[in-house]
Amino acid sequence: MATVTLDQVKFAWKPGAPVIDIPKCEIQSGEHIFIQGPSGSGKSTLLNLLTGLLLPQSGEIKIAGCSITSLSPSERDRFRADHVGFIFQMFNLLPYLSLRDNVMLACRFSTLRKQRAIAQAGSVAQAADQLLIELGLEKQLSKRLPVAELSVGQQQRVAVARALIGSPDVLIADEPTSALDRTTRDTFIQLLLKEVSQRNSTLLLVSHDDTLSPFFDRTLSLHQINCAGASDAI
Amino acid sequence: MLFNLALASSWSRRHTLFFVVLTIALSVALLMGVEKIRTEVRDSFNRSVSGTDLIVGARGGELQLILYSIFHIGQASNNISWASFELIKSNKNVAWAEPISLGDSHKGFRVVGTSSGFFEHYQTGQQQPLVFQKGMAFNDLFDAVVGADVARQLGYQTGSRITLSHGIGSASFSEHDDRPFSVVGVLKSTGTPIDQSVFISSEAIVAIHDGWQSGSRIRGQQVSIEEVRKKVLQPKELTAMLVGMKSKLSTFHLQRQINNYKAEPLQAVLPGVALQQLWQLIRVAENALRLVSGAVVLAGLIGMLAVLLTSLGARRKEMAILRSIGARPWHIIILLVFESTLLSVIGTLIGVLLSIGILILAKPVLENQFGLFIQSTGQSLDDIPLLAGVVLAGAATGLWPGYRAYQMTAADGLTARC
Ligand SMILES: Nc1ncnc2c1ncn2[C@@H]1O[C@H](COP(=O)(O)OP(=O)(O)OP(=O)(O)O)[C@@H](O)[C@H]1O
Ligand SMILES: [Mg+2]
Repeated sequence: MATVTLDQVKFAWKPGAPVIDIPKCEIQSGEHIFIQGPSGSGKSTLLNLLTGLLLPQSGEIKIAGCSITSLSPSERDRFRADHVGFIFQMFNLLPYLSLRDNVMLACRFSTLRKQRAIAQAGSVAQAADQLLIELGLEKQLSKRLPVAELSVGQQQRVAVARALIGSPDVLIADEPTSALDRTTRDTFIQLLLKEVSQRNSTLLLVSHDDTLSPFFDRTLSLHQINCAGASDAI
Repeated sequence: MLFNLALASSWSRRHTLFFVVLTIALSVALLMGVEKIRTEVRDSFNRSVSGTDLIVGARGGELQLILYSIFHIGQASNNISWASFELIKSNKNVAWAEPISLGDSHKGFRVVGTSSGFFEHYQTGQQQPLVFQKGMAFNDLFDAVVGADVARQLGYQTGSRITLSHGIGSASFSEHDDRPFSVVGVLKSTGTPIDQSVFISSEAIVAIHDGWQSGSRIRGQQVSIEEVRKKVLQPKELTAMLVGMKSKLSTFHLQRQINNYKAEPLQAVLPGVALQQLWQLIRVAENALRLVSGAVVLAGLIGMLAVLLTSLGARRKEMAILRSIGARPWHIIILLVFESTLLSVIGTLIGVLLSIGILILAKPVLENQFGLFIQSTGQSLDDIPLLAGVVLAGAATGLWPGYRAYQMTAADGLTARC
């Protein structure tokens, strides 16, 4: 069964300059997909479309059986809260919250994920702790380190914990490793893939860095699936 | 839930927000102080004299007359003759008339020369007669009665010995130290200039000035107390007089008669009318004060608006993170409105406390220097709508940054980098 389906999706920031034009793209449930594309090719724009923050000018996007392009903006927000975990390139965390609160944050806007977290670990806080420990942050958690005192790699792992809590259907990561050195990057990706597989979530990771491709089930080149912008990409 | 988040976020920026709160607190303190003084001035004026139908003095401004005779502000330009006093007192429609002779002082408090009937007839507030806290009215030539504040501030009891000074003001040049008085009565507090007065008889005023000419002692002329007592101490003039009528209806008639009196330039005013005039004068100042304090509050809120709008730049990522985990646009707006509401509530509360503190400190100065009696330093319930207005305006101030943040997250999507 396809978890993510794009059908004739067209998007342009400015009229007449399409950034995204994907006739067809299907991602199966549980797949780990790497989307590769150079800078400016529209990777982040595509992710904005997949999370429902942007609406394509035409076409349909389906995630977990739900056509998000036909939802109202507030329904899209609720859908994102329930079904999508997102990891930014950097600065994923709110500096004024503790590690645990940063992870639990994802359950604040989604009752579904909150209930799942409780079902899995007993309570949201326990689910958060469990994830942080699995991601190798036990010491930081018990020391109650403030977010600002974590290394970038550690911060990215907290972001993974937040994206995973309550087991959303799809995990979307926008160049999560670009600020990491090579070894940290590899351990991070392996850890991420392990956690995602455990939960049978679908992973969609975009990056310009094609050396990541061996870690994944499948690599899509944005150039190949995207008819727009192929000409003007750098 | 969302509020915890907002609280944590605000707390993390407390160093900047402290100054926003401070600005609002100061502006609210100013607003409350002005409101307080406004109502106290009004109350204090309305309270100052009642039961008196006419105030008579030398011809001049009506306002001036009530200011010097009742509020002890400023001085009379001329005295009136004792003969006129007797004439008015003997009028068939007059129930009572009490003289007021001003010009001396005691440690900064005004000395009022009058007759013992003053304590029976003078009323304050809602027809409240003067009450003795201790002792009674003066009887002997060198007896004095003091107001509540005089007794409290100078620690006087019945039996205390005091000497009076010639002239007004605490830096008086010459002392009437050869004519000591003893305190025989202390009045209860009234919240009016009565509390700040020392009362002696009109004859005593003559007695202490015996052997004086144009403000200084006549050299080589020492008159002993015993000699003074034997003299005929008939006052020749007085500063003003208070008149009570048998029937209110005849008040206007007598007023006209006094104002048209040929033998001496006199004027009679109705206290209510003079107070009204005072009002009109004060209202202009009052409105100007309110306008200024309103503008200061507005400036405080604009300051907050500026700070909130500036903070948005730094909070761009915060908003993007919240949007990525499913926060809706109105969550973002609430976050900012909550912050502005929180800041204005805290600022307003601190402002109210500040204004109370300042009033407690300023109370003695206001009473001594301006004759303004603050009844209570607490805020009245009447100010609640005004305070609620400030908080509401503060809350509304968050709407604009909230809307800007919403626009920003809509444009950024998830791409805001930092
Ligand atoms: N908020 C925006 N408003 C207008 N145009 C935008 C906006 N964001 C991106 N674009 C345009 O869309 C195109 C694709 O940008 P996008 O950010 O999706 O690229 P990207 O592949 O993520 O690049 P990078 O690897 O540098 O992050 C660019 O030409 C960019 O100018
Ligand atoms: Mg990008």
